[in-house]
Amino acid sequence: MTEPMHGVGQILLQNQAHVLDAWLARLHDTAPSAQPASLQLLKLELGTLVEKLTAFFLTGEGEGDALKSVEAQAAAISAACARDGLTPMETATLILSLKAIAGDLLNRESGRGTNELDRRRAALDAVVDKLALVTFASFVETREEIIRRQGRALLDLATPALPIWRHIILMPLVGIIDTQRARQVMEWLLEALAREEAHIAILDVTGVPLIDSRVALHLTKTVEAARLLGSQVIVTGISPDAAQTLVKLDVDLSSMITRGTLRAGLAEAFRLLGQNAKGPTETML
Amino acid sequence: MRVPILRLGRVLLTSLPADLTDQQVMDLQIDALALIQSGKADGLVIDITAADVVDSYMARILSETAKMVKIMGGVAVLAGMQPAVALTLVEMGRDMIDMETAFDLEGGVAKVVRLVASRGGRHDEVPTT
Amino acid sequence: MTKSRPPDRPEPAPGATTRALIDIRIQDDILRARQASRTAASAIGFTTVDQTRLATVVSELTRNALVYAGGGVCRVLTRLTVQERSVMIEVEDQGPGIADVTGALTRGFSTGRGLGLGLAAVRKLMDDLVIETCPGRTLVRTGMTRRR
Repeated sequence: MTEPMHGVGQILLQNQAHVLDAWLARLHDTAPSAQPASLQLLKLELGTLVEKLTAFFLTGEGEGDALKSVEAQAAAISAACARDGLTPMETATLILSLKAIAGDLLNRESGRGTNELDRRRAALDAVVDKLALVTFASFVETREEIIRRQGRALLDLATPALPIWRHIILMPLVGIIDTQRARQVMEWLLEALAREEAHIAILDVTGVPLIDSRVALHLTKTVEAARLLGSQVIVTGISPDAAQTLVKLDVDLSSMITRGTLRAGLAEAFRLLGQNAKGPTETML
Repeated sequence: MRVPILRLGRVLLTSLPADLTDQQVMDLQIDALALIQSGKADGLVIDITAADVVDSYMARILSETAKMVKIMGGVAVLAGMQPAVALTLVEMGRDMIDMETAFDLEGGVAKVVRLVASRGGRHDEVPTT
Repeated sequence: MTKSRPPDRPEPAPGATTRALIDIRIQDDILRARQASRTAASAIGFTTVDQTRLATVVSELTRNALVYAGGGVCRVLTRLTVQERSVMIEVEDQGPGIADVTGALTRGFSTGRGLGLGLAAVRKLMDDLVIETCPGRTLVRTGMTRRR
């Protein structure tokens, strides 16, 4: 194993500039969606990768710190690609194209048809294939991290609680409500009720594309929790589709005040406030 | 130590401390019912602003107290529950707190007064027609 | 997930730190255990709502130990890793044991003194619940884990 690897290392060492140039020349074809700014950065990173790869082959050892260093560099490049919006295909092609470039080089330097060449190419292919796998894992990981971060940001953004009148807050819900989000919405609504000293919350679900029995269950829980605080929740904007679904599923919404439009909900809120304010307090005290 | 109960007009007021033992909740129930029975009050407001935990035992004693007050002709209102406590109770099951609620002490008093009025007025008054 | 299985001495979860150990002998101990769980959960960044869920669970479990077994011990363990934070509550007693675990987990079931909602509530508030019980020893272990 040592000899062919060392051989590859020597050839790479003598042709580092050539390999990098050939790689960069292909960049436009392999990664057409890359922006000029990210190409600039990519060139530097690829240069480092070629250096580390050369150093790894020169050590002649299949495993070890040198290989780890190469893998780390490939993972970093892949993560950068994922952040810059390159497709997985582009990223994989970018790494795999090293096989063709360095392969041509080996052909030229080793002499065709020799055993030596076959073994060198095998050593090269094994490493590049490994890098491709590392690249793929790193790409997926980075994308997932981005999705998680965006999910959190969306959760924060999409659920404001607006004090729209003395004792009235409005919370418009937009987007899919899953269990985690429903929990979050419930927490925020209750905290907003307490913070704003609101007696009534209007929960507008016009922007929620799907209201099924699970969402309805969360809504009823929210209404009940608000009741424990001494506040009331009015749900507005239930679409005809949602109404049909809820009735067909036989969901019990009797504890909930619902209105078709936000406007009707607001009117109901004022009516409730007026009703609660009335009362012969002074005669009792 | 027993939790003190104050009287404001015909409304009893009590504020539960954060660290309330099971025995104190039971004592409170006994004291409140005795005061309602004395005829000096029509309602009870229990302020739980300070309570950071309401478990199933306390929820049950409070709900039962409200029912007992009702049977004796009065009204009981729970006021000032913390949002986190309300969420936890709702997750624990349906109707853990089976009694009237209000946002704060002031709202609780107003609610007692309103409920007593809608029911037909004070205990010690002959209705004027 | 809930399951009941024959008792064996449980190993503490790897990497867990014991944050508190409270003897449950009198009613005030319930309050102390509650406060200890809240402090431990707060120390590793659980939200107020999660702290309240935990303190409520500790209240339910320690009361059960006090009322049904005359006392016991409550352990609060916490763990903080790169990905997640978790709290585990263990309440152990030397009481008569729970004859019907499935029944005790069903809302409204009670063997006396009007308790019994407790375990059903614990299951709803926590992520997992394991009950090991036989005459002379009962261990309830329940955990809550949140992504960081």
